[in-house]
Amino acid sequence: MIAWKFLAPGRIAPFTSVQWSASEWLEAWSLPGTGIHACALEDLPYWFDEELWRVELSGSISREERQIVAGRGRLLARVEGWPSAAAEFTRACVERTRSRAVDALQAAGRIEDADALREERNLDRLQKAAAALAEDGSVVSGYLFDAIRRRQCPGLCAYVAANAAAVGGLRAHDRERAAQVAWLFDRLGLEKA
Amino acid sequence: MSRALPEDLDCVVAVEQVTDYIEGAMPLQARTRFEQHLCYCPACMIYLRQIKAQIGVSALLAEHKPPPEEVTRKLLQLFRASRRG
Repeated sequence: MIAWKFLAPGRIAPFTSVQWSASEWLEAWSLPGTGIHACALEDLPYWFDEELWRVELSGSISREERQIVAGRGRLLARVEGWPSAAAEFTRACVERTRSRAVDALQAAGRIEDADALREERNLDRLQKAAAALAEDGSVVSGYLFDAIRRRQCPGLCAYVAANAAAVGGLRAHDRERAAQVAWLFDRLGLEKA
Repeated sequence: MSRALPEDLDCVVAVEQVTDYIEGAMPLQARTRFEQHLCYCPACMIYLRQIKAQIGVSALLAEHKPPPEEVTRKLLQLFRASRRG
């Protein structure tokens, strides 16, 4: 089956430190751990790293929590759009979180604060405004502050955006994660596994 | 730092699990949650690297061999001379 895998620079597996060959099959039995771990589309926002590869999996394949585990795998091609699209991705997370913060302020009757947050175009000033609103009791604005502050780290920024959504319940959290997947799918031109 | 959702690991638990993780003593689901935590927590990733580095250095100490007898003898001579001096 076709799946995806994030690796550290140089095709290094981030947790086992094993270097993947550019084309050879890697067998699970030759590795520490429990198998070849890879991502289905919906798993991608949980495992960001510097390199994203399209991989082929075979042997015993099982669907586990937020990952696929296989008996063997090989790299097929690097997804060229990553990590150059990382800043765009985190910006999209920030904008969705901003939208949630604006909605929350409006719902609380803080129309002027909501308008100011919606209209601020400078990210540094937006971060400061979000911090001030968080001090003043706006929980989602606190997440917005966090998302901007952590935008250099896609995994953390995506996590913060999902937590911001979770203020509205777990279904909202899942919708935010789905939006992240959809963004990656569209922007990176991925195919469904 | 934003709080974790109920099913997410928090840093206190992650730090407690570092030794089990390094020793490969965690079942797949717990291991996956631990690794996911590392993906969004740079601080715990740094902590894990520090512990691994510490283990690596400790292993080198365990392999350390004493210097040759002649070197030990000369060092002791120099030490005793300095004490006399």
